[in-house]
Amino acid sequence: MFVLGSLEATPALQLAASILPVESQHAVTLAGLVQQPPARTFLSFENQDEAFKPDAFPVS
Amino acid sequence: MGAVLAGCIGGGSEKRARDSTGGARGRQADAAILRTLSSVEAVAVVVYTRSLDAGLLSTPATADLATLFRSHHREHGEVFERTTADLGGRPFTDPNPAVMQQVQPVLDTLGDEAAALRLAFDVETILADTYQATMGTFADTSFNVAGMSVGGAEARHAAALAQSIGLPPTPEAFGSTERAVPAGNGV
Repeated sequence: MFVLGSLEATPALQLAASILPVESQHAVTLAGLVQQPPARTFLSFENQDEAFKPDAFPVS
Repeated sequence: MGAVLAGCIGGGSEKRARDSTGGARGRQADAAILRTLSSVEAVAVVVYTRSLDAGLLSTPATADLATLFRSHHREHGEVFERTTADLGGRPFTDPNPAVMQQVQPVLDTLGDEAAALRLAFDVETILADTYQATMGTFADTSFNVAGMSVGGAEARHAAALAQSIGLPPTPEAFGSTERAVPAGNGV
């Protein structure tokens, strides 16, 4: 979600946005496997608290 | 980004540093999108309320989850209504009439928990698709983060409901916009 605030090209934005829901779905499945309480799995709003920030993890 | 939305999801500070609202026409266009979003959130509230009030969700854990999801949809709807007003628009507080036209016949004949969960799954999928479809359409680009912060939450709801009715929680590698409600439709 962090990158959605940074991307400017619409195709890149739409691509990133199409991946986010899938990661959310993965999180639900994995949360079930580790028996995480629903209140921790299902928040009103997705957040960026644990985002990988490009500045912290440079790739070049 | 609207102050109400920023308060809910945090972040976006980079974008708030400059005016990215797209001017008066941009704000008007964004208000139209936000009206659509609050209208589809209201549909979800109606669907969960009907299932809960009718006692169709007989499994306690399922009823608890539906109650939680309904509270999210109420919160989302209120945020979009307030942000619509922030942009100078008239908040849309009713369930989207165009979507309700499709949902109401199913709602009227719900008879058990499985049917209620299937309908909830369909509605959550429509919502997730709708949020994804807004990407690239906001004049104020900071709404992209806000939109998907909700779209991701709806995708989580859909995944949980899919599991409960025996569907794959992650059917595709990429989210789709196939069932999205077009901005302005019904509002």
